[in-house]
Amino acid sequence: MRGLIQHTISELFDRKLVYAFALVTLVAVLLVLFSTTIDISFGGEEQDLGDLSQAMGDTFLKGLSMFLSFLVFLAVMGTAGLIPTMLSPGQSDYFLSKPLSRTRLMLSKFCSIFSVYGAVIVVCGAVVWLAMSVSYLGFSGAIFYLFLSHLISLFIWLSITALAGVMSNSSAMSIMAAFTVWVLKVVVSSARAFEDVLGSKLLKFFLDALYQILPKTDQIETIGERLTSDLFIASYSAVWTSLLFAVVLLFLTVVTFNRRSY
Amino acid sequence: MNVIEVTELSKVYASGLGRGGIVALDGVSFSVEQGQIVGLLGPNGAGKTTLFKILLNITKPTGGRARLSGLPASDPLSRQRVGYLPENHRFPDHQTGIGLMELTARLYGVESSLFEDQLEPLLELVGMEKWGETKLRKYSKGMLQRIGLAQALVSDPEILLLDEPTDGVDPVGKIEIREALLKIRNQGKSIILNSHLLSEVESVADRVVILSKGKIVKSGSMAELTSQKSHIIIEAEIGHNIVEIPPRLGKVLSVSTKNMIVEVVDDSNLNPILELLFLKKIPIRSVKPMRISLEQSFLNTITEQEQTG
Repeated sequence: MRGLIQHTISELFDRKLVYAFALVTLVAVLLVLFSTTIDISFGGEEQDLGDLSQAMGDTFLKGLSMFLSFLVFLAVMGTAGLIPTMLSPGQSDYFLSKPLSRTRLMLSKFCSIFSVYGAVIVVCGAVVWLAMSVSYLGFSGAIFYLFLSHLISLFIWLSITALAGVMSNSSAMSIMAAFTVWVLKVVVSSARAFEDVLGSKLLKFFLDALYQILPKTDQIETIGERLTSDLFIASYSAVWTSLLFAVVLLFLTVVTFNRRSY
Repeated sequence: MNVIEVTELSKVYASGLGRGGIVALDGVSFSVEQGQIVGLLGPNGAGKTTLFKILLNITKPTGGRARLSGLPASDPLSRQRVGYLPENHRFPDHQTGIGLMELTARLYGVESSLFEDQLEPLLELVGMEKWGETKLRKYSKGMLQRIGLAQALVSDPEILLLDEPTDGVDPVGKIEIREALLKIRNQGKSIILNSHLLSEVESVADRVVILSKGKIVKSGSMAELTSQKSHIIIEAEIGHNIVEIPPRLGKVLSVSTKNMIVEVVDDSNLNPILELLFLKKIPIRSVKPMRISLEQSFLNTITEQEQTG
């Protein structure tokens, strides 16, 4: 595991991804620093500064959440090729000839990718959060939930690219699989909004089933934001069903990997 | 003690259309004893690399079984004391030579202190002590082969599987690698060497296994493969004597004043032939089977195989 973590870190530097994360973080910090001078027009009416403070806090929180989502997107795009590369001709022989079971090799590689890129996301997010805290927000330990929700998102997206990578041995297919799930997720969510006007019960059932099966990363991130703001959460089912989806995909990844000849 | 045992191993690759398939291995059985260098020979597509991959569980066999150090090849522990240099390898090229060896050591679970102790000697063994800190992408083909051999030795393996280890290596490097292999063999380790360079195999291997179309067509010690039992060299003071051998005993293939090469029909005919020389009072110095190069033996075997279908 330690060897694969070191290997994943060296891949991170070799692929120049670390610079992309650093650049995005720098831009975000500059945006935060320059957006703290805000002209507020009261328009002659009395305003409750407490409400205003809450509104500003929510805006920054939303901004930080979007930034973390973008980092997750970068990580998924950047790592989609790692497993196909490990399994490419010439390199698969090297890794598979070692005294590790395939299950252990795959899970170790997956955990290495998740922990290395998860750490990068947390560090970059923390830098932006510190800039926000120093400038405006004030420190709050509840931000932990926001980071956690995005790490869960990362875990789910990585499980999709891992399965696609093992099945296709192709970085492009891994990226396309992640995009396909994302598009499906958006389409199904949009279609469900109109399901009352859909005539077919079968179609409604199909849409509901698909909605339950597909990961709900947007909702997980919203849950993270609400927990950070200490707001009531009606249901955590989006978290459990999405995690179940990821675990099933990981299981299929390991099963497929174990059955394959290279 | 056998460190590798292969019994009735077969592998059929499914063809694209799902009907039939490509037979890569067809009932292959052989074993390798501890401390032996075995040369694995065969034309392209004979199944040599597939055999290596099955031994390492990289490819799943269709039938038969393979065991390493007494454990089934499917057991990860069977690979604990196996070093492997793949053909056409593509090591992670962002690693340095030392980085690759360190990664390999970690994947084998070799302790850091043990790895550090053996790093320098291994780099020296393959002549890469000056290039350890250089990234692999800057290495030449020969340097990649050398570092590949070093990483195969990181876990102090009992068994080494080397697929074309001198491919791309310069002549001096080839000699160095050959000497390194002999040194490793003398430490009691077993090596299976897959190489197209037959002279190289001939100079280091104790035994040879020849594969063709997925089957073992010949195997034996180097002496067995390179001797032609039916061809006998008789060193004798023949001078200008005329020696005629009845066709029922054999025939003279060549003759000079100091020796003659005779093809005997049967081993039991050798004595009557020698008696003929005694009768002519020709002093005999030695009688030995004629040796051919491994290359010639290999070509003969493959040609015979193709003729018999």
